[in-house]
Order: sequence, then structure tokens, then C-alpha cells
Amino acid sequence: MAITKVWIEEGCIVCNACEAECPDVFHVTEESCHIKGDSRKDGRESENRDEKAELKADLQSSLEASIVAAAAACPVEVIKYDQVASADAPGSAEPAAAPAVIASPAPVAVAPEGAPTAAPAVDADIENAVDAALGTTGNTAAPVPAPSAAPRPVAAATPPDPPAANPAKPRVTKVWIEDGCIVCNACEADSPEVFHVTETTCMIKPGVRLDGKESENRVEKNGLKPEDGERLITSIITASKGCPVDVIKYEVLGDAPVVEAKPHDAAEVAAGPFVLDYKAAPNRQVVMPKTVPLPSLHTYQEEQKAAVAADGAKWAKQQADFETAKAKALAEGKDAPKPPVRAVPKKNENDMEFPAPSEAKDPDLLHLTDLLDGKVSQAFEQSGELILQVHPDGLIETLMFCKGDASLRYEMLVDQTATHYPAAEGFAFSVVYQLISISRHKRLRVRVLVKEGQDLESAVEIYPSANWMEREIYDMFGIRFTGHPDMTRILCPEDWEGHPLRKEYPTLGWGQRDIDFREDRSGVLMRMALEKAGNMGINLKVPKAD
Amino acid sequence: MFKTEEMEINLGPQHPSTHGVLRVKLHLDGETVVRCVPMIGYLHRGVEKICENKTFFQGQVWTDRTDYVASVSNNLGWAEGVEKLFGITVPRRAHYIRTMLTELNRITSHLLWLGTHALDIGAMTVFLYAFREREEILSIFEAFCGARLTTTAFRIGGLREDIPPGLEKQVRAFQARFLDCIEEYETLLTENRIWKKRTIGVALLNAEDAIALGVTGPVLRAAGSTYDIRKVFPYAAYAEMDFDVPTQTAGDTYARYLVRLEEMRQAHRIVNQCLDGLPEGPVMAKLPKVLKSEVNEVYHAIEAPKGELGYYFVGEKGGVNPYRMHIRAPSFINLQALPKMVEGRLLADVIAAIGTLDVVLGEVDR
Amino acid sequence: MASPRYSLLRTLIPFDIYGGMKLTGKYFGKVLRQANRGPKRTHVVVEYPEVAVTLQPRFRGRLQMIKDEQGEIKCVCCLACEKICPTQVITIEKGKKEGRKTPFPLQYDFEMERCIFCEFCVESCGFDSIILNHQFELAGYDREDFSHGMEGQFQNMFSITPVGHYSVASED
Ligand code: SF4
Ligand code: SF4
Repeated sequence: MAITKVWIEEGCIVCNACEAECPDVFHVTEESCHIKGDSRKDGRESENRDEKAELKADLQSSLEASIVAAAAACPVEVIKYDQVASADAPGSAEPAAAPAVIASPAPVAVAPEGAPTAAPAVDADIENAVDAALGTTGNTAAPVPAPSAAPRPVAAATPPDPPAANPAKPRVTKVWIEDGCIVCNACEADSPEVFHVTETTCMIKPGVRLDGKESENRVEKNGLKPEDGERLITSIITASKGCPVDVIKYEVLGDAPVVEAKPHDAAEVAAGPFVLDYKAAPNRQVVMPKTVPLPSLHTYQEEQKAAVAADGAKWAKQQADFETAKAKALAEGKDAPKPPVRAVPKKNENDMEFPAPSEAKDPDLLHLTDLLDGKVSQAFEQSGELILQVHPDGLIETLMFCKGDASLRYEMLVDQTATHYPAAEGFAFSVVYQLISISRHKRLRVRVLVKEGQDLESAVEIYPSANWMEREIYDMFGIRFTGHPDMTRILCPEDWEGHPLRKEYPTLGWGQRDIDFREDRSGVLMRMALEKAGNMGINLKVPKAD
Repeated sequence: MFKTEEMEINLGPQHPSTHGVLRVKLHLDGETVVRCVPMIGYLHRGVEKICENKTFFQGQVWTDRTDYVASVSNNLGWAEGVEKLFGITVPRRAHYIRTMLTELNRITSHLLWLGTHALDIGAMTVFLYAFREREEILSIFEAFCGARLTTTAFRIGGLREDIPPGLEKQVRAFQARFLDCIEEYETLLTENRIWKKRTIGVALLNAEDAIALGVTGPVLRAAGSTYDIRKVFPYAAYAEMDFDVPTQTAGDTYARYLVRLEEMRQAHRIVNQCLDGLPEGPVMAKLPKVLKSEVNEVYHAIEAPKGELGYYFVGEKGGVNPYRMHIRAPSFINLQALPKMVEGRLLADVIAAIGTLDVVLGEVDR
Repeated sequence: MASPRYSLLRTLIPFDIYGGMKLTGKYFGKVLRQANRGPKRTHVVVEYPEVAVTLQPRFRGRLQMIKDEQGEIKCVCCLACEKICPTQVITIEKGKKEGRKTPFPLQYDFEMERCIFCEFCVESCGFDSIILNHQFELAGYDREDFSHGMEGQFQNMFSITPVGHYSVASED
């Protein structure tokens, strides 16, 4: 789907709602709302009511959701648009074949995700409403039972078309074993080609793996061979469902076939309807970040270069177009078209200017780069702060220099914290050390990049103040520090499960009392959700588990 | 017949003098503390995680609830941190008003500390006087932004509204009285022989240890360091203010008391300067309607009443929420020094030590 | 530190105790002389609830909806307040009404128990259709008292909540 045109009918009350939803397209002036010149093919800014100029091609589909949301948010409903079905993937904004990590009771975990994606017009609020409605009903009427009885909360009245873009058969791309295997052999019985149960844990056999190693595959997440993944999909899913501790995880490309699990334990099935699997609850699904916002001078410069190049290419194309048009016009004996004007970058009217990173000029950074020779990955300045990124092996050395060197004298470690970058390759966390020099009035930030499961050396010996801060990092992120006197949790209880500040940890915590905070006292949410879902052709009424 | 063995007792988490839910595990040999282990986390609400899921605009309300006795300072840290992330220039008038309110907030925080600390040690009267003045400042906050404690006072880019008419008069009336009030507290405490006995030489922390343990704020300055972020890395309108940084060298509870009292006088001076030099002009910067961040990472520190309060932000391209937000809470780091202060000392001094560190558990646990 | 001679003198003549007692006596006397009687109050205690407290004009109390002169609800359902609320306590259902050009809130749910009185909703509303009023007595007898909708005798969005009706300190 894409939106080709958008315009404002008469009656705008200049409420700014649309600009809040979609600032790229709408601009609310004193009298009315305008469609921005930047987003239009003709480049003019107006209400677009009479001329109905088209949107730029690249924005047509990228801004679709936000324009629809803006139109829905408009209190007087004067935002109108032309929506056309685009060529690819009818009826699904995202290909439904995107690999989704599926926890064991698979249908429950994917279903709510599937509902909004299949919808033609997705509004953030609808999603919320649907989620909330699903959450409440899920909690009261349809608790997640043992896999065999798993109801599909979104029983599609008109099942979404199979994704046209992916005609290939569904296959398992990856399978791995989480912590907690009890070596019960159940999986090996179900799928002996994939699993091999050893004395201590369960392994993924080398024969089916791309890299040909045998391991739990938990950390490396190596892929399955495609042909095996396709052939063994049913048995892997059966094994996963059959796992009594649910540690077999897998990723599927395409629609997972519905597999009936063997009830492996009568007692568990009986207990099932009353136990809510927190991690699978629809309102606890997290959206993982897709970008790696790690500020660095290299990336910034590359981005700038790419932007300049893109701009130049655009200009060259405009000129070439003009030349051909001129030649054509000449050949046909018509007037020559107007030569193109190079777009000048818009003037910044706001009191806001992005503090761009710049080369390291500060003597401290240069001195440290000299001293550490090869251990520094980059040094730059941004927002008036000095940033030094070092290799994890050079960390302790760096801190020693910072504290001990007579021309540096960073006496105090004021802060130490980490950031989780799940989308990054080659590292998973950045750990930053904020140092100050009280005598020289300077601040410095030392940054290291840490891999998942990699330990860092503790700074407690050099800066005793790192003690609690490192414990906090361990508590919140799970990064361990070697040489720390007391590597225990500090804010969460000792037996807490998970590390809360990781991005995969849901905001509605695990183990929390299961209240849906947005209570639906007068049934508004439910009614809205049902109505919206009905428009999408989804039946939200969950069958009562009896 | 008699056994001698170390006794382990828990102070808190519901002890009245732990100012919240701090639990201190103490190993005692008679009345001497052998080992002291602060146990924290009872008030952990995951503020950082929540703020990562809220927009830059909304997140400010959670900073009110970390150090709830100095919420204006927290608001300032949040607002300035976000402004640094985006590169926003704030109008000068907004800076002045922010500075004034933050200094008033420093006074309330120190007054609350003074009252409760004296109450812990046994001087009841000061509490009543300190709270009388605090009340007046809280009603100034109420007049400015409508709430007394959870102020949410500032906005990214400036202030929501200019100061209301009559606020200046209200502040001036308070200012006229306040120096005499400090004199009254001094009459009650500074020369008081019991107070001196309970505080001089108690909970010692020298400058070296303080720096090693990351202790900042009045506790560090009472040990002889002059580190004050308002002077060293000026923010808001502090570069234009004329004030002194009070220091002491003794590094004990009494020295910290003197430093904090003097800080209140300096805060009084700064508020007067803000009122006198209040520039005209707008109070809000011109900003786009929706703030979308670029990839950037900042650490912004301000001098909160309790020490260095730092906000660490990581911005994501086009993000309306911070990708990562971290609060460097002064109370959290300062509390690390508690074992150093009390080990080898008497049990009764633990109470004085907790009081003199001026921790707020909402901020320790976040 | 004072010299030993001086400190002996101080032990004998307790200036510090004298100073403290004098200060306490001063305030004691003041209050005793003119407790609630004097033309100019010297004490700060408010005799609430017998005497109404004075609130500052910007005080942030409970959320309330406003009607215009014709008795029409001013809200036009732009959902700005619902989106900005940090604790998500507002839920609005949009609807249409005969003879009204702008949309009309069929339901405006406000769950006061989680409202933190930040006034972000009022700030974001471009139509001045909501305010935080000056009611601060917000206690209720059960949880239902905190969820406000469009109907109901007490729990509606247009007037103050029950306790407010009985308090002497209510502002009107
Ligand atoms: S005052 Fe704040 S918390 Fe309460 S409804 Fe308004 S925005 Fe929400
Ligand atoms: S912001 Fe104002 S007009 Fe918009 S929905 Fe809320 S109350 Fe109604």
C-alpha cells in the first residue's frame, strides 16, 4: 500500500495533531495546515486542496503509517489521501516471513504480532488497544495453557493471504538450547538428527549446522543448513514443544506449521490453564532496536560523505534529466524547459544545532593516544566532551595512565555505566567510564566495547568507587568484572531472573503481579479493539477455555 | 560461661533514622562496628528502564521521584542533559529563573537534612524551625509550577511559563528573613555542647578516601577539596554568579554541618543575584514540534544538593525516546563511603554517619 | 579549638544553653501571646480543615473537563492528552453528535489513582478543554471512586469528587 496524494479539506482548526503525528508531511501555520514542500513532487507548500500534487515517490510508502495516523487523529477529519495498493506484498506492510524469535508456545507469541501487521492501516493506538484487549482477555478468559491446548487468540476469520513475496517453504533457520537443560532425552527421541543429549546438556549436532560444530549454539546462534531446516521443521517444533523446561528455541522463516505436541506429563497439563507464561504474554513482547546508535567519528564522517555523494548524484541526475529534456524540446521545436535549481539546505530556524563529533584536538586525548599506541580504537570530541574508545585489553592500562600520569591526573571515577546494543555485530555492550580531574578541571569518557558473555577487568584496584557501579552494571546488564571483590547483584534481589536494562527485557517485568495497568473500567478499550479488529477482519473474541 | 562472639544486627530497613528503606548489616564487637554492609534496592523502581520507554518530554516526571527532596535539581539535570544531547540553546532569562529555583531547592534540601539529622542526633527544636522555612520555599515552588514536591518545573528548551506575578515579592520576603533564620539554627547548634560532642570527630572521611570512593558534594568539600561543579564546569547561569565555595578541612560530621550551613548562605546570595539581574526576554527556545534525536551520547553533571548528579543519555537516530538513560545518583555513590566512615567506630555513630551523608533512598535505588 | 582555659570557662558558664533557651523562649512567648488572635500571624500552622488553605493559582489538582457557555463539552478528541500522559491514565472514545461539527468524546476515562498531576495533558491540549482544578482532597472509599468517566453523580469529569463536597476547604 502507498499513499500517493494527501491534501487538507476546508475546516482545519489548526490543532497541531497532525504535525505531532507526521511532522515530515504536515506543517501547521496560523490559519491552516499545509503539506510541506519537501515531501511533494512539485516542491510547493500549500494545503494541496486544488492542485493535489503527488507525494515524493520515496515517501509514499515510508510515511504511509504516519499519514494514516495523522488523518485518524484529525479531530475535524479534513485530512484526505489517496491510497493505492502497491505492487509488492498485498495486504501486508511487512513481509510476514520476517524471522521471529518464537518462544515455545509458538502460536501465542506470534499471534498478536501478526494481527497488526496484517492490517491495512496500522495506528499505534489500535495496536495498543488490541494489545490491551488481548492482555486483559488473555489474563482472565484464556490463560496460556499447556501447548496442546493452546488457543490461537487471533483466530483469523479471513486468514491473511500467504505472503506472496515468499513462496519458499517454511524452514527453521536456527535452533539453540537455552540455559537450563535437564538432559531428559525427550528432544533426541523426537528429532535425533538435530539433537544430541550429552551428560550435561543438549547439543545441536554438527551434521545439520552450517559451521559443522557441535554445541548448544546458544551464544553463536549458527544457522541450520537450509535443506535440513526445511525437512526437519516439524520434528524440531515437536521437540521444542516436548521439552519439559522449554529451553529449545528456534527461528522460523515463513509460516510455522501447527504442530500438536505430545502431552508429556499429565500433571503439567492439569496445572496449565492457571499458569501464565510471562515471557509469552502478548503485552510483554518487546520491540528490539534495529540500529546501533554508537556515536563515533568514523561513522559520522562516512554518513556525511554518503549524504554529500547522494546529494551530488541527485543534482547530476537532475541536470542530466534537464539536458535530455532540453534536447528533446529542441528536437521537437518547443521552448526549452526551465533549468533546475539546486536545492539549498534549509536554514535552521530553531535554537537547535546537532553537536557533531570532531577530530580529537585536546592534548589529553592526543597524549593518551600516544601512550597507548595501538590500543585506542578512536578518540574524538563531541558536545564538548572528550571520548576515548579503547580495546578491552587496554582498559586497565588506560585507567592506570589516566590516574597516574603526571600530565593527566584523572583522580576520580565519577560514573560507570553500560549500554546494550543487541543489533550490533561484533559487540553487544558499550561500557563507559566517566573520569574527572579535580585538579585540572577536565572530564574524559573512556569507552570499551564488550561482547556478549565477555568479562571485563574490574577497575576497583585503581578506582575504589567502581565497586558499586560495577555491581550495578552486572545487575542490570549481566557483564561480569574479573577481580571484583564482591560480584553480586546490588539493586535487584539475589534470585532475580534476567538483567533488567537489557533491551530484550520487557517493561512489564517478569514476575510482576499480573495486572493490566490500563484497566478497562467502562469497557471502552475492549469495544474499540473489537471494532477496529472487526474492520480488519480479525475476530478478537477469544474462545473461553473451559 | 560467657561467650564472646561477633554479633550481626540489621539496622533498618524500617529504622526511623535511615531516612527511607536503607538496611545496614552491622557486625558488632560489643558496641564497636567491625563490618558494615549497606544493603540497598528496596526502592528500586527501574527509573532508567522506564525513561528509555518514554519520550524526552515525558521522562522528566520520573526525575522528580528519584531524589524527591531536591526534585528541581533533578529536573534541571534532565532538561540540561537533553538540551546538550540535542544542542539546544536556552534563553538567558530561563537560565536565571532555573538557577534561582535550583538554589532555593538546595536550601530546602539542606533544611530537610538539617532538621532530620539534628533530630536523629537528639536536637528536636531545629527540626521545627527548619521545616518552617522549607514550607515557605515549597509554596514558592507551588506558585511557580503548581506542585510542591514533584515539581516537573522545567521544559526542554526553557520553561513552560514565565514566573507568575507576585513570585518575586514572595521570594524577596523569604530572602529578607532567611539569613536571620540561619542565625537561629546556629544559635541552637553550632556552639551547643551536646551537638559538638556528637559530631566532632565522628564519621571521619579524609579527602583522599573521599576522592577514591567517588564522594562528591558537601561531604567532599568538608574534607578540604574545592570541587564544586558550579565553579569548575559552570552550567545554567552560574558562570555569571558571584559566590564562594565553602570548605572545611576536618572531614567530620561537624565540618559537613558547617559546610552545608554556609552553602545555604551562598545559595541565598545567588538567589538575590538572580532576582536583581533577571534579564528580560523569552523563556523558551524555538524548537521543532517533535524532538528527534541524532546519534549522540552525552554526560551532563550538575551540582545537586547531595553532590554530582549526572545524566547520561544515548540518542538514537530519529528517536523520540532516549536509547539509554542513566542517572549518576550522588546518594548512591556517596553511600559507598559509609563502611569506611563507621568501621571501627561506635554503633551510635552509624546513625550520625547515615545522617551526615544525606542520602535519599529514592535516589540510591532509583 | 578553644584554649583549655576558655573551655573551662564555657563549661562553667553555659552560654550555649542560654542562647538556645532564649530563642525557644522567644517563639514560645510570641505564640502564647497572640495565638490566632493577633492581627498579624507569626506562626505558620494552618488550622485546616476548619480554616481553608490558600492555594497558589497554578496549583495542580485533579483533572476536570470544561464546558463552554452553551454547555457543550469543549474537547474535540484530538487525543493529544491521551498520547502525552506519562502514565497513560486517559482513554478517549471518539464519536459524533447531531448538530456538532467537531467530534465529541463519547467516553473520557480518567483513572485518577495513577495520575501524577503533572499537567502535561493540559499543556498539550490546544483547545483549553481540560484543566487541573484546585481540588486536593482526593480520598475515596473504594477504587471505583478514582475512575472518572462522563456519567455518574460524583465520579464524572465535570465536577469535584465526593470528599470535595463536604470539605470546608473547597475553593468555592
Ligand atoms: S496530569 Fe499528567 S498524569 Fe495526570 S492525566 Fe494529565 S498528563 Fe496524565
Ligand atoms: S487534548 Fe484537549 S481537545 Fe484533545 S482530546 Fe484531550 S481534552 Fe480533548
